Amino acid sequence: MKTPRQVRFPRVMAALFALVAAVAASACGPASESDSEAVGGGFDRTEGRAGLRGLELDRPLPVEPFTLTGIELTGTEPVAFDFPDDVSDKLALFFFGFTNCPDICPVQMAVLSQALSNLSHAERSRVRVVFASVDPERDTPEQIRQWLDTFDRRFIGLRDDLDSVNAVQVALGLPPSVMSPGGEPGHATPVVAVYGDSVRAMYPMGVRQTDWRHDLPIMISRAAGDGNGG
Amino acid sequence: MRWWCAAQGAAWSWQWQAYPGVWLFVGALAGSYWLAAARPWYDAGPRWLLRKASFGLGVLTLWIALDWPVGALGSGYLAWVHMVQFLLIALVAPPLLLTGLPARVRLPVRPGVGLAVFHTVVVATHWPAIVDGMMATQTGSFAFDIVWLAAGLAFWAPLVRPARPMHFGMQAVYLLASTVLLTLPYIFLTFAELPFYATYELAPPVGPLSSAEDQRMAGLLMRIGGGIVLWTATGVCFWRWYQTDRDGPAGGKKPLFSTSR
Repeated sequence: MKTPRQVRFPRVMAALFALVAAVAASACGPASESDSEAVGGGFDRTEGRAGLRGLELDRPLPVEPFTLTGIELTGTEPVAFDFPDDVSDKLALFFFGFTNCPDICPVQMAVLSQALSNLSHAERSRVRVVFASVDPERDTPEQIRQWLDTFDRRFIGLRDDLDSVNAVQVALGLPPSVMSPGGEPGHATPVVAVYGDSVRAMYPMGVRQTDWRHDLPIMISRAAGDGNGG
Repeated sequence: MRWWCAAQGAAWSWQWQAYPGVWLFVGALAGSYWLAAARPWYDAGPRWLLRKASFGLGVLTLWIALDWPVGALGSGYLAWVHMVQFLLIALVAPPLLLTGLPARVRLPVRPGVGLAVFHTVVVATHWPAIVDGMMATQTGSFAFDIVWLAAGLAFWAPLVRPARPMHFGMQAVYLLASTVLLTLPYIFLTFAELPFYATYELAPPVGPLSSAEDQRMAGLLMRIGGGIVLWTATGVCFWRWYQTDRDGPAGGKKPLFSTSR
C-alpha cells in the first residue's frame, strides 16, 4: 500500500509568496511616465495656497469678454454664448476636445459629470460646464449635443470655427489646438476653472472625483461671493 | 508587444492582442502536468480521466481569466471584469487544479493558515493604493495574478487535498466563514460613494457603465459570484456528509471533491 505523498506545501507557499512579494515590490509603482499617466498617478493632490487640489494659478488670469457660437441645451439650433454674461456669478468649467476622442475627453467629462452629481441642487445650479469642439469639421451640432447628453444634459456645447476657438483657448491660458498629420486634433487636456472673470485653476487628466468633490464647493462659494477669493 | 495584461491608458479596442507571457505560463502549467503524468511514478489513482479533465479545466479557466480580452479588460478598464478574473483565478481554477493532482498527493496546509492567507490576500489585493500601483505595470499585474492563484490554492488545499481531512461539519464552517469574510470588501465596493481605484475611474470608457456603477457591479459580483462558488461547495460538503453517513460507518472525514470513493 502506498503512503500518501506529502508535499511540503507551506514551504512552497512561503517561497512563492516571498518571490512574488519581491517582484511586487519592484513593480509597485509605475514603470514609466506613460504608465503613470495611465492610472492618474502623476497628479499631485497637495492643496495649493488657495486651498485647491487643482493646479492653482499664481495670479488669476483675467479673461476678456468673448462670444462663440453655441448649441442650445434642448436642441441643436445655434445660440450665442457670451462670456462673461452667460456665466456671471457662477463657476465656469471650460474643456476643449472633440467627440471622437477615444480617451482623454470622455474620461474628463465622465469624471466631472459624476463629481457634479454629488453636489446639492443649489450648488449644482451655480456651475456651468462648457465644452468647445476643436474639431468643428467633424463635430456636427447633433453629434456634440448627443455626446454631451451622455454625460449631463446641462453641459453647454460650443461649435465655432477653429481660429475663434483657439483664440479663446489662448485667452484661457491654454495652447491652441493643432491638427496632427493623421487628421486627429491635438488639444490641451485640462479643464479650466473660471470665476470672477478670471482663470483660477486648471484640472489636468488624472484629476479624480474626490479632487473635484474637494474643490467644487470652495470655488462655487467664491464664485457666488465677490469672485476675488483665491 | 506586451507580455502580460496591464493598464495602458489607451482607448480600448476589440482588436485581438497577443500576450505571450500568458501563453508561456499556461503552457508551462499544462506541459509540466502532461510530462509528470507520463512518468512511471505518476499514479493518478482511480478515476484518472476525471482528474486529468479537472486539471485541464483548471488550466482552461486560468487561460480565459489571464488572456485577451478578459485579462486586458480586467487589468486596465473595468473593475467588474477584474472581479471576474479574481473569481476565476482564486476561487474556480484552484479546486479544479488540486482535484487534478494524483490521489495520493496531500498538501499539509492547516485550515487556519489557508483561511488567513486567502482573506489577507483578498483585502490586500483590493486595497486602492496597491491596485493602482501594481496594475500599471506588467510585472505588478503578473504578481497580482500569481498571488491570487497561490492564495486560492492555499484556501482550497485543506478542503480538496488535506493531509488530515476535516470533518464535513468543519468544512462547512470553513466555507461559510469565507462567505462572511468576503462580505467586508463587498460592502466597501458596493456602497462607496466615490470610485476607489484610479485605474478604473480614469480608464478610457468601455460600455455604458459609469465608474461608480462599474465598481458597484464588481462588489455585487464578488458577493454573488463568490457566494455561488462557496455555497455550491458547501452544498457538496453536506451532500458528501449525508452520503458518507448513509453508505458507511459515521465518521464524516473525507476531502471535499474527492474523486476516489
